[in-house]
Amino acid sequence: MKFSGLREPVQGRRMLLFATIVVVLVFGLDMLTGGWMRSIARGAGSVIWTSGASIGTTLAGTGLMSSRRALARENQALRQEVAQLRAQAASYQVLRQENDSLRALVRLANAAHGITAPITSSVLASPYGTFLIGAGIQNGIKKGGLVLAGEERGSFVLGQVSEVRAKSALVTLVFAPNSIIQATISGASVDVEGQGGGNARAEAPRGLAIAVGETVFAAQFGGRAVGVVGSVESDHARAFQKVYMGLPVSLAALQYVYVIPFEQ
Amino acid sequence: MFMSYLSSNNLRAALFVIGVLGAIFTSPWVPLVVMGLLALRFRAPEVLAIGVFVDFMWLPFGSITVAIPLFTLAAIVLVWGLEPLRSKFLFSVK
Repeated sequence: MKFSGLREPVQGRRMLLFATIVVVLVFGLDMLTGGWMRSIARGAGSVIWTSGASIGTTLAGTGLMSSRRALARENQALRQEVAQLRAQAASYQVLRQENDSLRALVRLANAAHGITAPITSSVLASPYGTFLIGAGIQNGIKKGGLVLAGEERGSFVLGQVSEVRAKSALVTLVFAPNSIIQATISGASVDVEGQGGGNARAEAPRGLAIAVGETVFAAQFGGRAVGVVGSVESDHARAFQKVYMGLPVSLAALQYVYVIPFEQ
Repeated sequence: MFMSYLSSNNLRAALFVIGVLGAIFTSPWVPLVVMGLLALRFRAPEVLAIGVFVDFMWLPFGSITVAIPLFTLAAIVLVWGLEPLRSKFLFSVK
C-alpha cells in the first residue's frame, strides 16, 4: 500500500484541522476589521478580472484568431444591437406606462444626481448575485444607492449598493438568487423571487391579464422598473399563473452603470 | 513514484488555479465542481482557500445571519465529509 497524497493520514488530518481553524480565524479577523480581508480579496479579483478582460481584447485585436475574430466581432455587435433595441423598447414601454398611470400614483425622484461607474468584475460569476463597480465613498457612492442600467429616466434598476469601500462598491442584483421583492405587474402586487442572472419568477392571480413584454415595477425602489415579463404559464387547475421575468438588457454586455442615491 | 507525486501536485495546483480563476471569471458552478474534485481526490486545504475566496469576493459584508458564507461552509463540509471516502482513494495498491 502506498499513500499517494499526504504521507501520513494523521498528519494530513492535522493539517486540515489547522487549515479549518485558520479559516475560522480569518473570518473572525475580517469581521473585527470591518471587512478588511475581503477588501483585499476583491481588490485582487478585480485586478485579475480587468487584466483578463484587457488581455482578451488585445488577443482578439492581434489577429491570432482572425478567422474567428470577424465572427466574434459580428456576434458581439449584433448582441449589443439587440441589447440596445431591447433596452430602447423597454424604456419606451416604461415611459408610456409612467405617463399613463404610474406618475399619477408614485412620485419619482427625478432630482437625484447620479454618477456613472464602470463594472470591474464579472456580473454573472457571483453565487450571491453581486458584482463590483469601480466607484466608492470617494466618488459619493453610499450604501443603499440604486444601480441603474442607463440614465435615470426610462431605465431599469439592476440592483442596490450593499457595501461601499473607498474606491469600489459591491452591488447586489434586484433579482439575486432567492431574493424576494414586492413588485407590481398589471396593477397587481406580487412577490417576485430572484433566480439569478437577471431573471426572476412570480405567481400572480390567474384572472390577471399579463402580457409578455409588460414592465414590472417595484415600489421599494421608488416605483422604478425592475424587469419585463418574458413568459406567462397559466394552468387551469391552479388559481395562480407563473410569470417569468428578466432584465431587458444583457448583463454580460454591460460595461457601465448609473448609480443614484436612494433612501426609503 | 516521484513522478507520480509531481503529477499529483501539478494536478492539485492546476485545479486550485482553475478554482480561483473560475471564481472570478465564470459561473459559480466551476469553483464548486473544482472544490468537489479536489476534496474527493486530495486531503487539500486549497478547498477551504477557494471557498473563502469566493465568499470574500462576492458575499456582502454583514452579520452572519444575514449573509451566510455558503461556499466556506460547503468547503468545510466537503473537506471533512469526504474524509472517510477519500481515505480509500488516497491509498493505492503498488
